[in-house]
Amino acid sequence: MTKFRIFISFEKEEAWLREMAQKGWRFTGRGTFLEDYQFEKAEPRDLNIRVDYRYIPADSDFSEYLQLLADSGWNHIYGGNTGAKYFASASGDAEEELFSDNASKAGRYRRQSKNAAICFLIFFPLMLYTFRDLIMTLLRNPGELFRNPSLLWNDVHIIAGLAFLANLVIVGLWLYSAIGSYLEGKKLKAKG
Amino acid sequence: MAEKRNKLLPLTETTFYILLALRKPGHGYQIMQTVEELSGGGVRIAAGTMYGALENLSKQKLIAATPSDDPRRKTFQITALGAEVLDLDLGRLRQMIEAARKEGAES
Repeated sequence: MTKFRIFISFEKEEAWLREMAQKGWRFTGRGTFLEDYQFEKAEPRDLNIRVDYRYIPADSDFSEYLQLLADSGWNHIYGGNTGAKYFASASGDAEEELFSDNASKAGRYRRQSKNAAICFLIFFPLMLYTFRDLIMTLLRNPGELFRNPSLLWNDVHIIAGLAFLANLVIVGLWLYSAIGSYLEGKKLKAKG
Repeated sequence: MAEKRNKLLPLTETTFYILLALRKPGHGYQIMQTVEELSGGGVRIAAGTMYGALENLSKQKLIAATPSDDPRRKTFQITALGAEVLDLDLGRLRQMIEAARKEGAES
């Protein structure tokens, strides 16, 4: 089963994955393109799933990282060198977390914020450039479009328009994640 | 150089115990166990926090990777700089305890 969710809060994401496991849906991974959540039917059980977010470029470092987590009782469910990595507690201890102080909890949000900000800063100008004709048409004479919306429905514009909307949503989500994660991290850091 | 060292002080509880544990070489999970032991069970460092701390301390050159016969686990040891910083922090803690004793605040 596939589900679409967008989380800024790691805590809420973790709680949701756990709820799904309690309902008999075992989390298996994320889709590579749309980043959807994938589940398999399983026996309902209480599964303590936690998320780490970091970039570990070298494969040797990454396998040492997985080893450290495995030694500490965390089974790797999903996630590679970049972005989010998902682990299930082997001990079944419901309270067990991946981070034991607020500074490192804030670090997780800081890394997520930085990654989203980089994506936004690369793709936003690229989007403006790609859709410059459409954007100029929209900006030049918005009144004309209101009077005659069929201008947007001619073959060229409708495809460009849909692509533009899709891009706008993705770029907007990155900006939302960059700011939201930054604020979450700041809140945690202030707690000390 | 002295300024750079002072910037690292005071050490957080986590950093203090990791440096103390790494006076002997050890890998991540060993350090977690040693720290728990040394702190009488009071300081339990979670795995993600430990990984980040080892990365940071390596960047600050307070610890360094050391060769070991375990290819699956990275082993670390305290550096000369790390030992010096730990010593400075111990001096700072001693000073605090001494001050408290003088004031009769020590139980």
